[in-house]
Amino acid sequence: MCIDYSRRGFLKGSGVAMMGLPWLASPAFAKKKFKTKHVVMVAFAGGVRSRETIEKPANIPNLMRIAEQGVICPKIDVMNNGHFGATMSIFTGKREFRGIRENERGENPTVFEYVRKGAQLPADMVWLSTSGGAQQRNLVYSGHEDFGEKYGANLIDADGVFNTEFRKVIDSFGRPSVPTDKEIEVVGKLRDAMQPPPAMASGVKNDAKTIDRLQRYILQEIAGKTARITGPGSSDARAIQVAVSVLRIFKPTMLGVVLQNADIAHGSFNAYENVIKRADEQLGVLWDSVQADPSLRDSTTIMVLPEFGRDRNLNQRNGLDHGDNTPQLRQVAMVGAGPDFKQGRVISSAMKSIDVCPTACELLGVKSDHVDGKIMRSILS
Amino acid sequence: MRRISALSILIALGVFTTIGLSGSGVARADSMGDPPAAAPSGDTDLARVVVPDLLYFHQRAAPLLHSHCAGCHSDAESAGGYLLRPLKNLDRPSLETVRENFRATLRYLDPREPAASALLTKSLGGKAHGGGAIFANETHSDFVTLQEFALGASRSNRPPDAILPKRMRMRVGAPLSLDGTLSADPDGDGLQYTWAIVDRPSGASPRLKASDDGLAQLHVNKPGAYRIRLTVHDDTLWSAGADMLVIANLAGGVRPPVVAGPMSNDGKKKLPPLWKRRLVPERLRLIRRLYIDLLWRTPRLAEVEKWYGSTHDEMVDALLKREEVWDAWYERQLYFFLLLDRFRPKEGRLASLPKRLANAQVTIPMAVQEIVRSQYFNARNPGNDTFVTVVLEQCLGTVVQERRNLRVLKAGKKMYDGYKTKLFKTTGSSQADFVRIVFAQDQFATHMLQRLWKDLHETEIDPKTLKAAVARAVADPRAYRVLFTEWLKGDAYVKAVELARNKPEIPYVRSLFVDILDRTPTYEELRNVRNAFLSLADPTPIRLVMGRVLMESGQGQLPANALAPEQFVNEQFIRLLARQPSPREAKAFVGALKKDAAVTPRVILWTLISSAEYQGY
Repeated sequence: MCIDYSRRGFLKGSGVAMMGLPWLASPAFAKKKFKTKHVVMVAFAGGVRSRETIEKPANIPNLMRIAEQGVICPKIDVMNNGHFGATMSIFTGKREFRGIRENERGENPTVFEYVRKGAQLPADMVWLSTSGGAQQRNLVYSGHEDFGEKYGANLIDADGVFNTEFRKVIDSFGRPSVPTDKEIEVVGKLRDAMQPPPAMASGVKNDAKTIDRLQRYILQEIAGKTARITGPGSSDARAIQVAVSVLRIFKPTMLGVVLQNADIAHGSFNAYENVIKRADEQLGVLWDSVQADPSLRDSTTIMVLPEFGRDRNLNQRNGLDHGDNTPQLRQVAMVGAGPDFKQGRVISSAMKSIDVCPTACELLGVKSDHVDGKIMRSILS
Repeated sequence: MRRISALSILIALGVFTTIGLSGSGVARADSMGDPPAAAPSGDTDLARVVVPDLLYFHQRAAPLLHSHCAGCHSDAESAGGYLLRPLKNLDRPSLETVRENFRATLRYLDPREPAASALLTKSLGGKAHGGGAIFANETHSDFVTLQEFALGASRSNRPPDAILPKRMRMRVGAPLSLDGTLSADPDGDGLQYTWAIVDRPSGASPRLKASDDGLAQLHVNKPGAYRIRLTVHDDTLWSAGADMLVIANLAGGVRPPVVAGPMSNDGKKKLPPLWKRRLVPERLRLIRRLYIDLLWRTPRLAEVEKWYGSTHDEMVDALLKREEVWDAWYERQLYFFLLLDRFRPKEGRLASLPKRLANAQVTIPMAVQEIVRSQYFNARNPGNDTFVTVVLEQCLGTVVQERRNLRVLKAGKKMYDGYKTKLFKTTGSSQADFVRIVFAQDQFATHMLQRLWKDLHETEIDPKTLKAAVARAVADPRAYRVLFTEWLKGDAYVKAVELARNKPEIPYVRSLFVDILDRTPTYEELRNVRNAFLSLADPTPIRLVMGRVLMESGQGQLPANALAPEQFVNEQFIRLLARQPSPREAKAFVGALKKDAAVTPRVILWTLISSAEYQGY
């Protein structure tokens, strides 16, 4: 099915949304049980305008393919509060003000914490895959006193682990052997004799089994194809590749993905478009892997949106900055699909990027008490 | 420099005597409280009698008294004994009015102890001042001006400022070094230092040996609280006294006891090796904590042995002179400013910063400023918006998106672009001016010291401590280093060692290399491993992978067999976990080494390195 992305199509979508409003407000809707068991939230961050995505479908054939089975929301209001703050806003459902180089956790609980706490999940059921940067690591949990590290997500920053440099270090020392059963046994005995470790703030912790699976996965991936992805947009491509692996190995309830390579636009418009195309290609792989897995296919919801757009006009370097506060910067498009979403619709009612977090929580049946955003009821079937 | 003639002293005494007598004649409680008995006694040290300066009063003090005090004290009913005539024209007040106010004010000055004058103590809310506290503390700039007036400031000479730490600890029997060299004179005059013990425990007979260069040594023979006062003199004016409370303990307070080193007191007989002795766990942990905090790595066994016989304070002093410590400090700053990978400084003057810091040739704020002024910082933060935003955020802690800060951001960007603009009330017209102005703000000291405290203690600094520290840092940039030293020696730091912390990623990597390969990683190794270590929310799997990689590299220095299993196990526990094994652990580990062929030194090492305890420090 092709989406009618004309003015008529928009109006039709808006009309549908408007007509649905009284029903959406009814108590019956609030009690609705959703089919969604897994949510994948992709922050297509780095600053991506709608003009290069939904307004130029040739750039994003895979996202359009996903949208055919779901919705496009072209009027998502965002704030121009820096990549870090704007991305954090998506995951916390609140407006976050963060410095450009700020490297601290936020005060508001993230969607990961809501889901882990609300559904009482272990760490290996909630994940974040990022494309690099120390800041993004802060998204896995907040400093909120009722949430925090004990409800944090597992994180893999693909650019940090699965890269040529780390592989070179490993290669320079030689690849380690897998522990033998005998070694595991004697080490286990000695460790049993040791006194318990002192208590300390521990961050996100996995059980021994998950640690073991992660060790093996890391060793495999370092030697595998993820570490060999190179070129512009490679960090984003790796992040999505890791997300595919995490979905396959752990089948998490909540999976976040944060991209960032689109910010190359400051210096080159062409490179920016290429990054978008490459990310779209990988998102297609992710979507296909979900569709190919019977345990995920009918129970996984995906939502993809940028943290903000970019300026209306090119800068002196033929690039695009983000600071003019035009609608191209302040309004982005979201593509979403899942068992509880409408299909093949353009939902042109105004929504906000901070609405994504409460919507994901609603789909997974957990509360999100501290958000300012609202559930995006107009996109739900 | 102004000299006081004997005549002027006598005139001053006369003035004080006359007015003082009339003041004491009033002798009643009022809104300002009782005026002091101002006449100096017959045994007054004339050299220390202060002569307040009418012209300084006219230009600096009178307008302040008008704005802060005249509200109550210009009305005869509420003025009590201190009646000020309102100044009609603040810019050019009449000399007669000023002279009258000057006379009225002199009654509230103590020429022998000007810093204790009622004018000052009442303005801080003391001595039953009806108007309460006018100034929140003694660092208020208007209070400082009034204090300078009380100390005899003139237009050509302002009094010096004595600076001492507020509080120190010492042990009975061990001398405490006192350093007054942070004291300063605003006119740049040379200083003479006068030390005094103004309070002591009863029965104590402390000794204070002072040298001319601002240093002194305190010896005490009894535990308890001692108050030391430093006053400095610029050949004309005296500073207010700076008081320091010294707490002397028999056993060093909360500190772990000092344990004799490898040599006995007579320097001849050697003590048993470390692993054979019964060691104080807190001391071992403190040694490791200092190494990881300051050098970003664990100590080697020989280093543990070396420092085990020293006091904590001696160790801090010695380490802060080492370039390796400042290397780690420098790397931390580069990490804070994200000058990593291709933005990491590769050559030039910045490379010598650690050496210059170790030799105290550059102050800490100047070192940070050098980093911010570098081409690398500029390349990392290109363009006016990014540069100005990052400098404001990282150097002052400003949230530039907040509405109230938008004007500052705008002015900073304009200045960066070369336009003449005012920022924080200072005019500038270049990127360099912008950086200079930012670094001159008190908020820079506040932000920097907050960061330093948090790095060392993993807690927020309490506002009172911060305020005092900022005042010292603003007065003299050398105080950053002194504060760094004091905080490392302080009880808060020492006590914090009781709670284990997670090793941060970079110290973990560096420690892993030292513990397994007996060397620190090269920058390239660290960079490539660091990014991987930072890539997981739960770093345990990647830590284990890396540990295994190094263990199996064949580059470690492990013996194939432990010929002395007790010693081997003991030493691995000491160097890797900063403790000796418990009897149960010793039995299990030594027994396994002796009896089980599968348990090799490598297995022992791996067991300890892959333990949860090794993740912390």
